[in-house]
Amino acid sequence: MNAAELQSSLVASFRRLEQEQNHRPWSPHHPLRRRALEAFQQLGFPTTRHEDWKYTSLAPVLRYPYRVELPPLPEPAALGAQLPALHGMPPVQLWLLNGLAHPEQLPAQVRFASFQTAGDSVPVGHILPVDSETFVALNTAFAPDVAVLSWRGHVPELCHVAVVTAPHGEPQLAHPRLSITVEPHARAHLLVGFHTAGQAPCLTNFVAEVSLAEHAQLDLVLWQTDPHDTFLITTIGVELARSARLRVWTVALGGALLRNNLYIRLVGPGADAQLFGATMVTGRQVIDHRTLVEHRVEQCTSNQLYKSVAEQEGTVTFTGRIHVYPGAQKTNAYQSHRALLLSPKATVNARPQLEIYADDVRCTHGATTGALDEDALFYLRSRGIPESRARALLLHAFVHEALELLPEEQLRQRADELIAERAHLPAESLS
Amino acid sequence: MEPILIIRNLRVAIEGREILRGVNLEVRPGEVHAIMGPNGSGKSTLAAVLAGREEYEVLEGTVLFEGKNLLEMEPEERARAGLFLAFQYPVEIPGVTMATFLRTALNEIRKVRGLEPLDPVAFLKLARERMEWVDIDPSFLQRSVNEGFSGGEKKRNEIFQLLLLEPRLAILDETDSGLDIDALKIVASGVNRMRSPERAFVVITHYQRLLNYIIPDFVHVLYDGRIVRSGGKELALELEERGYDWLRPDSEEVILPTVDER
Repeated sequence: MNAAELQSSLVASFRRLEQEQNHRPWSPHHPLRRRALEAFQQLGFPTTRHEDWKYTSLAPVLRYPYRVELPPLPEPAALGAQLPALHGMPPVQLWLLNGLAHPEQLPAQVRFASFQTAGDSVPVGHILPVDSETFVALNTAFAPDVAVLSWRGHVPELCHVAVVTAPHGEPQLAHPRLSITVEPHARAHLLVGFHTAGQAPCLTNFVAEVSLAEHAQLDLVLWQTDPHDTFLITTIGVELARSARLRVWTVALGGALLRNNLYIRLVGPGADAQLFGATMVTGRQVIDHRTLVEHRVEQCTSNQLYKSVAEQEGTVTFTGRIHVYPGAQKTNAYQSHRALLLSPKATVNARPQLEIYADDVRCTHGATTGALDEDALFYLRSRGIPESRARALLLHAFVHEALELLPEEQLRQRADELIAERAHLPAESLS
Repeated sequence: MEPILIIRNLRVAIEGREILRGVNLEVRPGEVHAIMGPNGSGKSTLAAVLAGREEYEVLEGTVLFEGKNLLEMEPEERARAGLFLAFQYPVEIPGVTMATFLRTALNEIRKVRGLEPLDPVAFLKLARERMEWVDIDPSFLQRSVNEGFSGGEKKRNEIFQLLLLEPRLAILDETDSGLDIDALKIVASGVNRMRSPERAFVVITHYQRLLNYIIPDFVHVLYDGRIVRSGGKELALELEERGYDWLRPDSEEVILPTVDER
């Protein structure tokens, strides 16, 4: 199968699903789905000739005849035990199983809704236009459900959403979708973990639209540590109103090919967005981060710190765009991607992109790619630490910097352990 | 007593330039040797080669550490065998805490000494005690190695590591540079506390000042890659007074036989 064949097979699946609805509207968003499908047909799958996909070829992803129809769903209760990546993690409060929402015990101040319960009041496409990009269009066309979470007041408790794609004997394409609202002055802590259960190839095409009202705060952790050779594409759009505050940590360690699109729109003065990424690739893993931070109004701040390590034949790509609109004076925007290239066959691509249309701004970016610091290595060895252990300590320290501000102790520790494991550092040496 | 360290005719180059041009030195347990010399004479090169820096090329000569060929050992093996270098420029390592670093190092060294590894609690107890000896706040254990330390704190931190790791032979590479008199006294008292009949020190310094507090048994002058003069502690005072020029190989003054030829 190739991209064109997959495209027509998906269009055929869409028609079939429409018919199965027996001419009843397929969710309140049926017209929107149709528009999205048309957009998908027009856009097609991106190739490396597409500027935004210059370094990441989807050819290895698009060669499977994915099924989009929902396979028989596993029991969420049984899944917990089946997913080793959930060990040592907080309990799951909401499952998105092949895109279908299964709420468990959610914190009291977090309201939950979905297609099944809320019908057409579920917002779709308000942050990410349905026809803007292939994978957003595809998700809009096929998402079997939209899980809506809204926070009111200060909720210190972490909310854990597990996105699970569970194939049933054949390649599966899943379209999980979240819609998140944090109401004025509310504070939210959200963990979204991505997993697969089953052996067949999987492509998870995740979309989330996030709206932060005035003075709202969201800490969002994206947990991408799936040990399987799976494919994951995430597109998250966040809009921040006046004085809203967003922090995102992306822990990207697992999967065969991973692409994260993180689009931040600062639309109210005083809004602040902080993006952090910890990435490690090995084998032939490909992890591609794309960020876009739009400073649409004055007096907003943004900061991006991504730390990446590429080993063996792995590839890390970081494309970070900061767009300062006319009139967005007093903008303060910073971006940094720092990478360690540990093998001659590994690749790091870093592209900072700045577009600045205001004159009273502070905007800086930096991208470095290098090897481990030989002086530091020698210093550690000169105290009796074996070279392999010294390297592991330095690697761990390098990546950990991106997670230093992560407030949840449990997550920070678990991430630390996973990073240590990848760096071949025994866990007991973390103290 | 058998020497801990025997250096014979050591010739070392970096980037094709010969820096050490035939160094001879013997150090026995209990002794403190000072190596003095002008800038560029090869003092720090000697320290770096002994600790195992790889960018130096050994052209000729041997170095025996407790009878073993030191030059064939990896830097970490040298440390585990009991060699310690106090760095002239201690390296900052963001993200690695002092506690993690030193507990890992100490346990590696304890392993070869046939001792059980220290758990975090026992380690903290020992570390706090030794930090007090050189007036370092225990909170430094939770800080990244040398990161944001002042010049004096970095040097005291080197001596703290010396106190913790208890080597057989410690080489101090210009530990006095950039220290005020109070810090110098703290560093010296740390070193003096560690002096024992089993342990030896090689103190590399440009100035005589440190040697007022760490009294050496022998003073050697390294000049242009060779030890051109050796004597007792009074040689340091003479150097302080007269500088190094009179020791230039082409100087008219007679070069006396060195202690190495005793």
